[in-house]
Amino acid sequence: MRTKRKIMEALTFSGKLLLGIAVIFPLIYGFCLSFMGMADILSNPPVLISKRMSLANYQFALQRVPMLTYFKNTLIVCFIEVGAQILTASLAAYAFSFFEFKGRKTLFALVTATLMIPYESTLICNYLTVCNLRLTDTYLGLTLPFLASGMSIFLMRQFYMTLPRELKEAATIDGCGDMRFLFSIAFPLSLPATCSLALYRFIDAYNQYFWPLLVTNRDQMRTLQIGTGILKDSEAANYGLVLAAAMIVIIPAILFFIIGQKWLVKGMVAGAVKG
Amino acid sequence: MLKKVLSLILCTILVVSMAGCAAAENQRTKVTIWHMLSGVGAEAFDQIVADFNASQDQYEAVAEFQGSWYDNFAKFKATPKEDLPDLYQIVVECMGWLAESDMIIPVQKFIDRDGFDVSGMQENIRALYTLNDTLYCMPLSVTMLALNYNAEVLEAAGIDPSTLKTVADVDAAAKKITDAGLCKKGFSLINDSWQIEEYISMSGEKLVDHDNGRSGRATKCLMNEGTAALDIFTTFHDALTKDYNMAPTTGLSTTDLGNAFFQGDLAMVIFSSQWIAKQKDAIGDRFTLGQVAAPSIDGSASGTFSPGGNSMWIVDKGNEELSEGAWAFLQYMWQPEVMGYYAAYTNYTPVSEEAYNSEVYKAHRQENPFVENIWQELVDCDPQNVGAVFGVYYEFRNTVQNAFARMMMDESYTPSDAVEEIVATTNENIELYNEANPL
Repeated sequence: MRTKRKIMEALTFSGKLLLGIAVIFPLIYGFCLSFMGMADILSNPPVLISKRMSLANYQFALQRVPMLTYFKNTLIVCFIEVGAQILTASLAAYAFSFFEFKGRKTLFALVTATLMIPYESTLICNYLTVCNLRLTDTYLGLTLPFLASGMSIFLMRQFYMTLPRELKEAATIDGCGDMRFLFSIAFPLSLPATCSLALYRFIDAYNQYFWPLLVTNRDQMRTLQIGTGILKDSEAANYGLVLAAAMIVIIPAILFFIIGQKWLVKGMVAGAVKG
Repeated sequence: MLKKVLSLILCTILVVSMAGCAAAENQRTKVTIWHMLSGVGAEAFDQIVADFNASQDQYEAVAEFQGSWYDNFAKFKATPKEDLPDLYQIVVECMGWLAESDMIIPVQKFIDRDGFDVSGMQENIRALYTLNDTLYCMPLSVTMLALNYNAEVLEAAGIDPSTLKTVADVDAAAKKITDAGLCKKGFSLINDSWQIEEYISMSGEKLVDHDNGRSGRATKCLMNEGTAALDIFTTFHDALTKDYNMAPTTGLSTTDLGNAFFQGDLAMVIFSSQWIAKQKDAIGDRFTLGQVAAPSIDGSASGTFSPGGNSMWIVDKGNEELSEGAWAFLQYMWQPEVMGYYAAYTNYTPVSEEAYNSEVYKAHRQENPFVENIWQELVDCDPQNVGAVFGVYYEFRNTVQNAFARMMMDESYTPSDAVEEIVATTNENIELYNEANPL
C-alpha cells in the first residue's frame, strides 16, 4: 500500500516537474541566449551554452540606454499607481458595501461597466487630455488614467461584502466612525485582497509600453519597457541584446512577485485563523 | 490692504524669477526630433545629432525615439500641434497623410529661399518625395529590393548571380542547388507587402488611381485591373510552394526566413537590401553575403523597381525660429560625409551621388562590394515610376501580408482570390479614409 502511494507521489511529482520545466524553459533559454552573439544564437541545432558567451550584450544595453533612470521612473510610476489604486478602491468599495444610499446599485453597475471598455479605445482621448493639461513628461501625466479603476473597486467591494455586518455594528456602538472603521478594522482584514490587488496593479503598471511612450518625450522621464523597445531594431532584432535588456527588466519584477507572494500567503493565514 | 500688498509682492517675485529663468536658458534654441529608429539606425542618428550640436551654438537638437513607425505615426497624428516635434523622421508610407495635412512645411520652400544645392540628390529618390514639383522632405536613407544570396553556395553550384534576371532563373538555380545537396532549401521571399508593391512598380502598372496618388487623391486600388498583380501572385505561388523552396507563411515581424538564410539553410532570399545587410553579424563566418537587384517576374517588364526608405519632415508649428533650427539640422545632415556615414553604419543605400562617393562610404564599398549592385539598381529606377502615395498604407500592408501568406498555405485560396480580396478591402479602406479626411 505504502509503496503504491510512493509510486503515485513520484509520478505526480515528475509530472509537475516536467510541467514546471516546460513553463520555465523559455526563460532559461532566453537567459542563456542573452550572453551570446547573433551567430551563436542562430546556430543549428540550437545551443544553451556556447564557448563565446560574454557579458557584452549587457554592457552594450546599459551603455546604449539609461536603464537605471528608466528603472527609477518605472518604480515611481508603479508605486504611485499601486498606492493610489489601493486608496481609491478601498474608499469606493467601502461606500458601496457599507453605505445605503439611493442609486447605489446603478452607480456600482456603472463602475463595473467600465470594465467592458477596452483600454485602447480611450487611449487617444486620455492622451489629448493629458496634453491639454500640459502634463506630458510628468509622473502625474504618466499615472493619471490609472489612479482608479473599476476592476480594483469591484475586487475590494467583493471582499468587503464578506465582512460580517456585526463587526460594523459593534464598532459603531463603541463609537467608531466610518473612516476609523475602514482604516483600523476593514482595511487590515482585507490584507489578502489588497495584496493581490497591489500585485496585479504592479505588474500591469510595470509592463505598460504604449502609454508611457505617448506621454513622455524626454529621456529622463521614460520607463524600462521603452528602453527595451529602443534596443530592438525596427524590423529585425539582435535577440541577444534584446534578451539581455529583458533579463534586466524582469529580474526586479520577479523579485517583487516573490516578496509579494509571501505577503499574500501571510495575509491569507492571518485572516483564516482569526475568522 | 495687507492681502493686496502681499499678492503684489508675490506677483513681482514670480515675474522676476520667470524672467531670470528665461534669460538663463535662452542661449540655444531646442530643436526636437521624433524618430522611429532603433538598433543601428538609432546609434548612427544619435551620433549625427551629437556632432550637429557640437558644430554650432545656435541650436540644440534633441532626438526622441517614439516607437516603431506605426506607434510613432499614431502618436504624431494624435498629438496637438504645439506638442509636435520640429523635425519628424518617418517611412515613405506615411507620405500621403503628411503631404495632405497642414502639419508640415515642404523643404522645397527652404531650398528655393536659400538656393540650397540638392542637385546631388539621387533623381529617383527626389522623384519619390516630390508631388506637384514640390520636394516635401529630405531623404535620410534608401533601401532596395534585392536578391540576397549565399555566395559560397552559388559558387559551388557554378551559378553566376548576375545572370539571375527572372524568377524562373532563380527557381532553376534553386533546383540546381538543392539537387546537388549544397543547401537545404533554394529560395524564398520575405512577405512584407512591400515586395508586392515593388513588383507592381516593376510591371509598369499602378497600385492606385490618379497616377499612383501623385496627381490627385487615390480613390481606388487598381490591382485587379491589369494583369501584373495576378502574375506576381501566381508566379511566386507556383515557385515557392515547390518542395525545394520555402513558402513565406507569415508576415515580416514573425518570419523565420531571415533566420533560415542566416543559418545557411536557405540559399537565396528576396527582400530589402538593408534589412539583410544590417544583420550581417548573424551570419558570422558561416558564409559570404552577396546582393544583386531582385529578379523580375518575366523578362518583359516595362517598369522598374522603386526606392523605399525614410525621410525627415519639417513640422509647421507656426514658430519660425524652430523651423529654421530644423532646416539648419537638415542642411548639416545633407553633407556627403554625414549621409555617407549614416549609410555605411546602417547598411542603407546612400541618398546622393556625393554621399555614395564620400570617403567613409567608399571604405564601406570596399568591404562590401555587393552594395555597388544595389546602388546601380537605384540608379536604374525610373523617376516616372516611383511608389504610390495614399493615406491607408498601413492597412494595405496588413491586408496584402495576410492574403499573400494565406495563398501560400491554403490550397483553396487561389492567387486571384488573394488579389480580389486585397482590392475589395483596400477600396473600402480608401473610401473610409477619404470620407473621414475631406480635402
